[in-house]
Amino acid sequence: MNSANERPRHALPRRRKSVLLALLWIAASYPSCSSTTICARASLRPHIDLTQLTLEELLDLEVIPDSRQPRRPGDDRGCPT
Amino acid sequence: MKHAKIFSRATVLLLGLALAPSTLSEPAAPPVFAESAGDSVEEYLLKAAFLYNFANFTTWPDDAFEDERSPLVFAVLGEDPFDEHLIATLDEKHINGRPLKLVNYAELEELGDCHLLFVSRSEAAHVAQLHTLLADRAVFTVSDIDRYAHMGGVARLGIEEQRPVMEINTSAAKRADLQISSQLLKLARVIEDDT
Repeated sequence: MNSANERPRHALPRRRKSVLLALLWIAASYPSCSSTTICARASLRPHIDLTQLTLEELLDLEVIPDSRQPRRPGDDRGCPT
Repeated sequence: MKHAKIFSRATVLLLGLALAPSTLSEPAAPPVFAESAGDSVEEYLLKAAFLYNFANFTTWPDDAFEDERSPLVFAVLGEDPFDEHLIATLDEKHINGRPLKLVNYAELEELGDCHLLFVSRSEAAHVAQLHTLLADRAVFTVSDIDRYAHMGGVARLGIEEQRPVMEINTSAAKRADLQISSQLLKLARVIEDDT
């Protein structure tokens, strides 16, 4: 028979149990990757989906010009004329 | 006493763990560009949305696809100015039941089959050669090269006074056997070829 201070053999120490629970909680909290493709997508920069807007709404947006693209004659790219 | 010590360690551990997912799993907040009318948006994020819409408002001839399930292929020719904007815009979307695919061709010699081709500014010198090559193919050519639609391209995406402008060459669209929706045409400037 077990004495009062003895734990049943199948029982985990309380501290180990809490660590295990915490690890399980972390695993459940993190986004999972079911395939490498999905993981690769997750690494993309957060993206705004403008395809939800109508053409009229898209045409009404103000453009922040891409500074890497060279300017050419005739392309005002937002510059005052 | 011993219990109190364990409790405090457990509390610290759990607090740390509680904060960890929110700080580690979520990336830093991106610059906020609102997505309603009148707001500002990055140039090539906006142009990616226009490319999606061009495809959405265009009908290709049936023989432009192998079968009913074949993807609608977007391609970029030359230096890709979109970064990840175009792939993110097209990701997991369908047009008329077709999945969307994106291909990049570094130069004209590599050009393969596609339905909508964005011609990068890096290819400005090869536009005439490109259009000769695509003469009998149902390809929606689009670019932000100056006067691209006047040069025989199907569409040009420009920026004027910080607003996007669409120019569409209906003769070029007809030559490519493309049907462009009147909904798109009424919002675009209709352009004729340079003579």
